Amino acid sequence: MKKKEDILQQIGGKTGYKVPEGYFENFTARMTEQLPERQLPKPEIVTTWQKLRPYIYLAAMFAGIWLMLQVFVAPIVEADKAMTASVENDEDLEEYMLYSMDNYTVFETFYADAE
Amino acid sequence: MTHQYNEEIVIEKLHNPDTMRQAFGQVVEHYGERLYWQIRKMVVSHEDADDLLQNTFLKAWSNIEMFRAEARLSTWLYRIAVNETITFLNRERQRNNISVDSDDSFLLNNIESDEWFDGDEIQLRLQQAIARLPEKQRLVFNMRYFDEMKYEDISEILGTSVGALKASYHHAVKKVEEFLLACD
Repeated sequence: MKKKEDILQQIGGKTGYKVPEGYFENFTARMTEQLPERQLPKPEIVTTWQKLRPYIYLAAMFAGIWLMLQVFVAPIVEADKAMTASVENDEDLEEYMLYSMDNYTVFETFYADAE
Repeated sequence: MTHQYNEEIVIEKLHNPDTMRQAFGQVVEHYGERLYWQIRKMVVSHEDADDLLQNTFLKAWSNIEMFRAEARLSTWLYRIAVNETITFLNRERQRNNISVDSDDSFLLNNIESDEWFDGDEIQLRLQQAIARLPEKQRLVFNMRYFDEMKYEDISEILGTSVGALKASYHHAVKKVEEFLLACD
């Protein structure tokens, strides 16, 4: 077992390969000489408009929603408010209720009140 | 004159058109020898290793903008070298009509007469044993046994988990030892 463990240690990581003299010393110069000329692709220039564009689109979307609320929803709210104001007076409200009820309901209401 | 190699500065210079050539020279000088031995141990012949090393650096030079600063330059270069080596070996197997399942012992056919091999008997046996390993095991064995690379680094280069690499190395060592002992 000992022999088995030692066998790779004995060799000590040596390959037995060699290279011509000065190979590594000359390799860098030889390599850089044959590198073709090349240009890096120019980095893309991002304009201020391109940077701000998503935020401007978002703001425009919110402005559109607000405008639609003003045009379509605000008049309905205003009309409701006017209606509410017109029935705030108890007498007017009672008169309105009586006017809009049929006779049977009116009598039934009076009867219930009398009880 | 030897320049002190600072990877951060070199990477910065590689992305500047005015300094990239000079910086790449520093990369070649710094990694050339390590990559050469990595390739040589796989392809055996000095001439083939020299060609593949040049191809490795040419590929790196042509694709330098693909290299991201957050990665390690050594890992990126080793990956290119390994890919170049595997492509070469596949081509050689085809050229020599070697089946996919066979080992790469054919690479050692002329090793004894090779002027760039001066190993003794046991070193020759070791090379024969390594050539019998499957390609992936051979890569792992070379990186671990000869270069003493960390499993984590090998894992990054080969894209294999550390656990699988340990198993692979264990099997490789066992096969190499068995071959060497059988020759005794």
